[in-house]
Amino acid sequence: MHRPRHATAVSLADDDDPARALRDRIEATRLGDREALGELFIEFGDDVFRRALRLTGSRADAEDVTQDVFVRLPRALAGFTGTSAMFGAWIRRVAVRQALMLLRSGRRRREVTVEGVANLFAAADDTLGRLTIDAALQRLTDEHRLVFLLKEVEGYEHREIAELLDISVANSEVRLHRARRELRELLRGSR
Amino acid sequence: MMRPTIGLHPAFDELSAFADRADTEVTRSRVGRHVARCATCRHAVAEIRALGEAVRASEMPGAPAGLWARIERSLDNDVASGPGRSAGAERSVAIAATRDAEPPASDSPKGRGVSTTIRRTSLGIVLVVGALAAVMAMDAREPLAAATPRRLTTDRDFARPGMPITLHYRPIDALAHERSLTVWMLVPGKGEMRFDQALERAGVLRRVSGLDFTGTVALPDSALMVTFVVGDSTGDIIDRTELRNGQMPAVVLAADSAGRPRLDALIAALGGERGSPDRATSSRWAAKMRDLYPSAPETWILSDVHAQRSVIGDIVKLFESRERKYYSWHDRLEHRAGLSAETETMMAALGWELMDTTRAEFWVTRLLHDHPESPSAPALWIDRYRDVPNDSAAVVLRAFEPIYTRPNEANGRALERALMLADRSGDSALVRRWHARIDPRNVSWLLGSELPRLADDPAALADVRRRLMDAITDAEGRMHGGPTLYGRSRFFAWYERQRLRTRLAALQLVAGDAMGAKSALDSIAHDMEMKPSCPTPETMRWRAEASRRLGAMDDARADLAYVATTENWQLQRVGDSVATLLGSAYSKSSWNDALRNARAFHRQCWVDSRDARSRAGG
Repeated sequence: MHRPRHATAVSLADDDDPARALRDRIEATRLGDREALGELFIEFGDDVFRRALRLTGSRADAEDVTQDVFVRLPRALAGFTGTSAMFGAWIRRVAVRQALMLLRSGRRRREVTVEGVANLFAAADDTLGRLTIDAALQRLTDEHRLVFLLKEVEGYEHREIAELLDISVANSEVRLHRARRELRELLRGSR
Repeated sequence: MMRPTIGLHPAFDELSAFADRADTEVTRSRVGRHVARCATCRHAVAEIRALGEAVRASEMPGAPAGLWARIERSLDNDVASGPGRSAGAERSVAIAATRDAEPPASDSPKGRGVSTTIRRTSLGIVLVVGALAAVMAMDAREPLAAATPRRLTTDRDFARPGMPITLHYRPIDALAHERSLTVWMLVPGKGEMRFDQALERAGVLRRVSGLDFTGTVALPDSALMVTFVVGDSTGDIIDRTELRNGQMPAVVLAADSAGRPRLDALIAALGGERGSPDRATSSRWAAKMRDLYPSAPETWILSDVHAQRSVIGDIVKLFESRERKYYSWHDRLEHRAGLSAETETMMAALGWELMDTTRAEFWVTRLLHDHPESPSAPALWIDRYRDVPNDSAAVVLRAFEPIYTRPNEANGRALERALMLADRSGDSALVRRWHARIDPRNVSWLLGSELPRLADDPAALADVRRRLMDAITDAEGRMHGGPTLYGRSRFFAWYERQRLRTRLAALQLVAGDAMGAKSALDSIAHDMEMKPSCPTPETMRWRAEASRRLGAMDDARADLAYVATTENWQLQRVGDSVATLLGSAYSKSSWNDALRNARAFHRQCWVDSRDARSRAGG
């Protein structure tokens, strides 16, 4: 179990200029430099994983999504035309799309893992009988949870959510309201 | 959708929508004005906004420590084949392919027309054709299709029998709670991977950390290649993630004493028509084959079929290139003695595929001479005659008699061709002789031309009944048998049993027992609905016939409508003769009502069946 090494790819760039360093890493990754990809993983891997975990609700699925994102990254970068400052937002969007793809593909198993169940109850214990917001989120249906997370956490507009999930804007709005209502009831009911 | 709120609080949805707006809008809307005056609703809006803030503020764990290592492993697997491999790797493969693996290419295209090269035969016989189609299909995929992370990995791709192979597994959720897991293996005969072949137990994996299992297994002595999958101890749950994603599960090939993959194992792995491995895996094996066995003819052909082709935009060019290679291989091998059956089979199959009749016939003749026991030879022989005129079919079949030696797996294809010729010949003795060679379990012909004969021949009827009973027993064994790579094999064994029972009931009807047949068919239809699954049109067609003979015309009409509303257009044609079948019981309005009810029934049983599959994990 080891994390990627930090050294070589950074030598491509100027440490004093983070934007330039990132740009160089992106370019090196695009050309197939494994070390540069490792650097990008250090910088953005946690972020990608957390987003995937929130959306899928499963650690195993989140790992799959993160792995997919980084394995595909050298090729996917061909489609990235923004500046280095836009890279963070871009890779987060890639992660969201990848997670949605996994959810849509049916590859994902809906069974809750033992770990997941344990976490659910552990969370409840920790807060003296109250469900945590994350545990409550996991009790929502996929369609409600996804809209809620895409709107509240990822900051998408209903128009974008509708496009991502292939639903109407009105449907996206309705799902958000229902998700909020369910969450509120879950959290109130656990008090 | 506005709701009157005078004197009432706004609905939750309205408050939720309001919560997304900026506070500056407070006074501009009816809800805003209400919220400004109502403490309860202000509190509700604050709660709604707090939900989002709470989620954004909640801490989520970062990527686990081992994830980068897993990504690296996946990248390593992808290097040999994926579009993301380095230019250097691509060059080295290309150089190996041209310098070591192939004989010099001849420049004699011999004026063959493009149209003939594009024309695809329906050979589908062995090895190369299926694999070539698979490679071409994969090349047409979008370039960003990346490797899916594997859950089961092995520490080696090649192993000697008995040598320990370490497996690492990251479980699907359905297996995540198990303390230990069972490794199941498929040991295919002659390298052919059959998805309905029963899996054998290979070993046990134990949990080493939260989500990681590990353990060791070994290759059986005689195995050329072994496919491993992981499941629970009963085999009720098998992780088929890779198969669903179009990848091969973990495969290990037999190695020689030096630890190198054996040539026969590589031939088995790359040449197996069914279960063609995924592109990444097959390219890795092909590269290994070129490295280790550059002068073997099997390497020239198989490594070319499985060679990495980054862009195939023009199928014509591919075929022209293959033709040139084929001619050069032919020139080199034509006078060489001691060629393997695999080489000669591949040369014959390639010849047919490229429509090079002369060379194909040369290799078929040579295969029959050098390897008369080859299971591929009969199919290769008869395929060239599939388009002969009807009055020549009997002549072809007579010549085929000594070549068709025994019924076996590969000869099924040859038999299929022979049956088509027999049916076209119009010679009833020939038809009967060839139909009698069908696998006893396969009674699909029973509802065709043979049925009237059975009605008049009690001995033949008894014989077929006995064979059907044997086949039902066999299907029942498979219903309760061990797991297979194919997730629904137990269901299909059950389904096959129902079809066989239907034919048994049909025999009963033909023998004159309409009441008994109706009762049996009712039972079959009931079983299918209870599964739940849609009853087969065949069951319903026979039940309609039984009802008709018993004078129960309403029942007959309902079952005929069911058949007429299936998706099979040939079965739908039963509607054309319904007036004749129902006689005076037919009326347009009652038939239309029956069709409407049948469509509703179809929809419902389809939904029930889908939901049941979903509950059972797909």
